[in-house]
Amino acid sequence: MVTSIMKKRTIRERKKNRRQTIAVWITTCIATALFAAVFSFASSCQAGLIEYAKDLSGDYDYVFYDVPREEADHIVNNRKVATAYQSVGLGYAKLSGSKNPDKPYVYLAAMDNRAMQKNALHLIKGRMPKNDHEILLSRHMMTNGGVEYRVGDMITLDISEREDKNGNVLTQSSGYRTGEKLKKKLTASFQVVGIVQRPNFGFEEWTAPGYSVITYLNPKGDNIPEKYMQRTDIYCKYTKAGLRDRAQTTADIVGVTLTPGVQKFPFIKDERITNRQINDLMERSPYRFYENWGLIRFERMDIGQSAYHMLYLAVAVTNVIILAAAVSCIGSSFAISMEEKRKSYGMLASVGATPRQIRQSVYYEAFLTGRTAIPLGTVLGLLLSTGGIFAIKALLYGQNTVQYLHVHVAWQMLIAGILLSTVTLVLSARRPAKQAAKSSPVAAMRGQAKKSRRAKKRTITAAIAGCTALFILVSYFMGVQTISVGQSNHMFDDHANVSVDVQGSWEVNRSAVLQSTKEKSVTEAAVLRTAAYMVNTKEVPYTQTHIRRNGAPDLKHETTAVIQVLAVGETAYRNYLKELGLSYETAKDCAIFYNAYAGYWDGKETTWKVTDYKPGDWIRGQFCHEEQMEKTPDMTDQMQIAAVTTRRPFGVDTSQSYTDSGTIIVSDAWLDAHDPQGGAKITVKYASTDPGTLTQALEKTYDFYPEEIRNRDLQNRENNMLLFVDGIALYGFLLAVLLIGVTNICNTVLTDLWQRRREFVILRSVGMTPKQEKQMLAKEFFGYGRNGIAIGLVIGGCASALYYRIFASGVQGALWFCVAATVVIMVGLLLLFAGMIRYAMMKK
Amino acid sequence: MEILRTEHLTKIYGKGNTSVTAVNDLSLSVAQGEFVAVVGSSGSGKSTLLHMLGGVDQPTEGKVWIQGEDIYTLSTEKLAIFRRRQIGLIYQFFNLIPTLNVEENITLPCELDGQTVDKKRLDKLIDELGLNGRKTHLPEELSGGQQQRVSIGRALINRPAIVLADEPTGNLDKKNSDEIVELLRRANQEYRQTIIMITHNLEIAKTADRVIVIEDGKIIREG
Repeated sequence: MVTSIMKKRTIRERKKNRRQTIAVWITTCIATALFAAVFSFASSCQAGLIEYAKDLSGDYDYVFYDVPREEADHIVNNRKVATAYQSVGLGYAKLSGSKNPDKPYVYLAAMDNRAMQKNALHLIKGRMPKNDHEILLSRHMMTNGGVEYRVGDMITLDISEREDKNGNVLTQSSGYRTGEKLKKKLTASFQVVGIVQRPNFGFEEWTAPGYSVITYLNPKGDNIPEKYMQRTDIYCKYTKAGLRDRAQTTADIVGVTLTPGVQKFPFIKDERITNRQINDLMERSPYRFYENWGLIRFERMDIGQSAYHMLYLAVAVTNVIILAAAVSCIGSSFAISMEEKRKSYGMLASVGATPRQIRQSVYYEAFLTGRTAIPLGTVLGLLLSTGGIFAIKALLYGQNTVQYLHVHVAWQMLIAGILLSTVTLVLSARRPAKQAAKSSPVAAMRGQAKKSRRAKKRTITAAIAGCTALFILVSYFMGVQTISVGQSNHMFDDHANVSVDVQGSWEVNRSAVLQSTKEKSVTEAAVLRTAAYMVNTKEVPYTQTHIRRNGAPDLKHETTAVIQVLAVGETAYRNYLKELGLSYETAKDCAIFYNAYAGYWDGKETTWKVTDYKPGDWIRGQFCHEEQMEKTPDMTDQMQIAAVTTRRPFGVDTSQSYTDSGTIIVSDAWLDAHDPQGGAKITVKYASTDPGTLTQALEKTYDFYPEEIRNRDLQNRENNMLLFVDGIALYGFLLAVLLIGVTNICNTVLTDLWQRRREFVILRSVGMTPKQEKQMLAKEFFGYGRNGIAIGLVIGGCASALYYRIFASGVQGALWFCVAATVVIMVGLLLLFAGMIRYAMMKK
Repeated sequence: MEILRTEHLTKIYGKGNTSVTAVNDLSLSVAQGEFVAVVGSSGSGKSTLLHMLGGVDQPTEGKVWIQGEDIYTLSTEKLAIFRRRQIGLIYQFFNLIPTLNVEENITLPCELDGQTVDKKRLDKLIDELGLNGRKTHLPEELSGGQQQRVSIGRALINRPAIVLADEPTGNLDKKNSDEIVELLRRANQEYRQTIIMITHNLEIAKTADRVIVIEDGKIIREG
């Protein structure tokens, strides 16, 4: 407890030593603002990601399917379940006219308002149903199934149960099976009141045999009798505690013992163990369930999740940097202040102040600083974070996830920031408090004050070294990001600016895909379908260069290899043949061998020939699929090579030719004839004059999954903008830390000059000219700068090298950013010291 | 009654060839109520002796008892508390806290002790010191003589067992010096305050009850 006289003394000393007081206050305020901004931004990002995930995949953590109604309460009332909503799966009805043989049904579910809201159903037309005579249809039914309905139409469904050949009931997770039957339950008619986008994956998997249609859940309704609502799907949000131990919570809900999994650290869950346990539960659970990982991964932001190691590392490193800079600066200011008051502390000791009372007075001084600087700094930090969020939303307007970003201040984060600032102040005051307590009364009586110039030199050098190292590291990091973004933006050299990966079979999607290539803005398009052609490695004339540089296939141990077969669509193939100077008639039943491999050799990107195939050569092998990969096929097929080229057709980029044994390009007709099962993976590439409109059409007209559509122009713009935002944030942070460092340097240097004023007076009195005085100071400052920069270069260089080794070994050329940073630091220091010398000379 | 006693008190600075023995095996005893003057030439060890008696400089050897307490067996904290309650220190250069006013400087030992100051006694002391009208002044606003009076007030406020004055008139003119010495004598006579005063001024020393002459760290004469 600080006595009132010591409090009075401390308050008055602060007013007397204004420079130190202001320096400490400003540094504390900046450090607190930075802590608050970092934590607030992190919590806002998490909140935004959670909103994004809820909108995309629904506001639930787990869904338990087909739970008997009488068992529903046990789940809903579980203490680890925060909220729950239910939807009732009523059954299947044949969809007359469906063009998708894998999806011959509609699947009717009933939901109340809450369930419809939480299940991320996005209305395209009309409204949500309000009673059990009304129905919502999925647009996917029309675009994929080819069955058109409009709002206002009536639809009559024979609602049935699906059974397999053995009479087992089948659910939405079971794809369509040949020979399955429908067992009718009831017939009901509905009015179509709305059309929604295809529901999220948790509600309708892409293999589900029925297109989702939704009516209003009303057990007392007159259209669907209650007796058909005996099983329900329960969507649960777990409590925080429940999510923390979600494997155990789920095990409790489904009533199955959890397989043991020993966690290395009691408070940090290893996600691999948890995932194993969940997968095991899925197999043994009496109810089928689905984990909404899309939402959970953001709600948990668990350090045990490897995806968040980087994020937590970044936050921890950022805070450590702020803490170190602030403690160094504030500690140095306290030390200077303590030194000036050393005589005073000695006097206090001589009249009977105990060491404890003297220490407490130093901590009291820290308290006086903190009680205004920390609240104000926190507010500033929140404003900074808020401003940053608005700026990011404006700069990245239109980007998918950014629209969900909003200001969210978690009180835990706020407390953490305030605690960190308090710890910073306490740590800074600790050493000076100890030293003050040791102040010698004898020295005070003799009028001696111990001046430690060495400590000041160390402080200045350390501040310069710290700032230099940080500047270099940040610059190197930005250099790597800039180069990576540039590489990423030019990664695809296939001349397309829009692409989409289409889910489902070629037969089902063919019409939509081909129609999409005829959109008004499309100038060129390719429909890529791949297949695997297995060959005998002994028969492939690999070049020595390829074997030496690639190291694969391993010709000693591997007897087979896979050549990628690529069909690019008729139009693109014809254009390709024209470019190669071949006629379609000659080449349509042959293959074009793409013979270039792009890889790294001698530290740089280069291409080389894969094989020595020539036109006219035959390639013997066999088309094969995943299930056949393990056994060697009969190699009864063969294809003749029409041309060997290093030129790629439109839509094929370098990454698609990453197979060890080359790529064969063929016509659609040839692929369909030789591998009817093949070409399952469909990617469509477009060159469009209006990528934005085309992207919208692909999503809304053709109902392709939005996650599978890529607008590269937009992505490149977003990448560049994100880089810009990253730069602002990082350099902004750097500036704040530099400000702390510069405050520290100025404070220490100017105080030192002030304390040595008698020395300067004596030097002047014996004839030192102002010019000589300036030279003396310049030499002294040069020493600080030289040592500080040298140490900073070493630390910054090592940190950058470590970063390169761990994260950026593929990125060349970022070193120039470090050189530029060094030059900037030197110029900055020069200006700073010149300013201080000028100021010192003025203050004669 | 003996109030202070030292036994074989020694203080050596430095090591080896460069060591200096400031006080050499010095034993003395002071009775309660005595006014003792310690005289000696510059470098004779008198200030060092005073510092050791005041508990602010650890002796190399020997013991110091004040009111039966061996003060150098106390911990740093307890010694500081002992010092503010039982020892009053007056310095040549006043050593007042620059940011505290006259009243605050005088009451500093009481405040550090957490005691409530007796207002009447304080006012009487300030009156006796001739500092009425200067209570709220800071040290920089006072003359040398006034500052030394404040220093005396600080030393006397707790009625310590012993007051140690290190050249209290060293920085003052004759008139102020006489006034300061007079104050100390009055404190000794009226309140039976034990005072040990260092001075190089023999005239001032003669006003004391006992004069101890120190040379080369030893007592060479007493009278």
